[in-house]
Amino acid sequence: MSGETYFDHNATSELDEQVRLAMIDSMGTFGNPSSRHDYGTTAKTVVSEARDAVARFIGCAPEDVKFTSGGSESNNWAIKGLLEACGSKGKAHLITTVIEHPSVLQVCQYLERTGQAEVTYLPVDEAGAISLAKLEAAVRPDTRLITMMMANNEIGTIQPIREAALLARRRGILMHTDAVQAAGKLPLDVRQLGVDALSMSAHKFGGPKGVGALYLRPGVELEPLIHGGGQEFGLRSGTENVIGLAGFGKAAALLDRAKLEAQLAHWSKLKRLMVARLAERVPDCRVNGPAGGTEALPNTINIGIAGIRGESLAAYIGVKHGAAVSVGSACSATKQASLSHVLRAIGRSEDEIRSAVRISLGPSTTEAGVERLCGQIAEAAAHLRSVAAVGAV
Amino acid sequence: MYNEIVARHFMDPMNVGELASPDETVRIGNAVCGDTIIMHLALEEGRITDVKYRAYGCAVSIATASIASEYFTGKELKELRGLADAELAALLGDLEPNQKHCVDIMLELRERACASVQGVSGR
Repeated sequence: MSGETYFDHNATSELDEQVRLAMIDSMGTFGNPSSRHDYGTTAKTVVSEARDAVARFIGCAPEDVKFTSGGSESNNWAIKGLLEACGSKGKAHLITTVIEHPSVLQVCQYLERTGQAEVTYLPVDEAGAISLAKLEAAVRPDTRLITMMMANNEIGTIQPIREAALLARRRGILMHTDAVQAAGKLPLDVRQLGVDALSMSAHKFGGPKGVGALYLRPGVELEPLIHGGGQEFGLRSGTENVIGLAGFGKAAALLDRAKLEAQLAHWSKLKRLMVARLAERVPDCRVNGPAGGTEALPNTINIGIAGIRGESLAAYIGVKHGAAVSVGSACSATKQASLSHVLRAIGRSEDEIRSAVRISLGPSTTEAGVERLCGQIAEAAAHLRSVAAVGAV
Repeated sequence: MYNEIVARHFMDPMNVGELASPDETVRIGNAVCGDTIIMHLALEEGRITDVKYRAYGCAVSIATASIASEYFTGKELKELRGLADAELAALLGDLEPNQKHCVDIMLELRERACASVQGVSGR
């Protein structure tokens, strides 16, 4: 497998070589970070250094970073833990959007089902953006929490988190953002953003899987997730994943502001190139989500090619060229349609969702790689259209 | 992900196209998946002599149309009708759980082909 043909970096990223070496190095550190002897102290240093690096990465103090097993855990914990800690034993109201990750949407549905919360799901426009006016209008006297993703994983839309956090603060509401897809693709500064909590995951930007963090603004109460030995400031007990944290810390340390800015400029150029090439070479190819005005992740391109299934296109370029992309719809074992809720929310029809393909660029993506992929997509589209039934018989 | 048979037929499907004057046209679709196959059959004395089709769908459903077209061509209707479902399913090779709906596509193609042909031969 070669990283050159990998265009699914929003699903997960390649493990950075320096991260891999840092993890291997940490394998020699077998002590328990909670032990008071030298073995324990050495392991504790690995954890502390990782916490320092992640804190620098998002602009907060080390003690504001609580390590978790990843983005889904961080999202689950933030929503449940913040609501519980702010004393909403009865029914609270929370506001989210229709295009959140399942690890947010399903928590909201759980809270509704169990009678713990009423939830308002904000709609989005054709570009996937929420309206701040609609957010303000959705606020009720009993609203306790707003949870809104910073950048969408499927279409890349960036939400106005800072403005939403200001609104929340003004109205005495807690603000959580799922920044799993934004981390490593946008500069993050929690103080500038003004959020109370922020979720992130290591494997989206060169770190290992199974490690993440929840930022918590000082003074904000959060109910513990795991009771026990008191690790993670008494909020998430359990012996730390020292090897994973060594990797997480290294990934965060490697991505300084200058490197990130250079990366963003490179991706923006590649994205413009790809959109232009596909428009030239693939008839009836349409971009899903932000185009032009709305802010979007520069590494994420979601397209729909009329008359073919995205799944078939992905299969064709995968089998023939080893290329890896993601699709908006897939067959399921239950014969139920598995259609992207994000594409549905921006007004795409079922046929349009079935034709969707997501291309997400990473640090290793080159201009030559993008040119190659565009050629492969054009070839696959021509092949599949020659076989397709639509309008042909 | 895709077995060898499916990959071969999907990447290079056999018998794609239309017949100028088909004796029968079989159209099947799956409202949930959106798969559509339109198959033209040429018949002669209880035998399928030619098959062409157009297919829109996932990789496995396109491969299924191709595999069916190849297998149906030259077959006696009686023989095709008498085949056990498992024998037809086996033509697709091992499928993953989310690909198994294509066995239904294969069986439906056979059923519709035989039903339509029965109508022709019954005249």
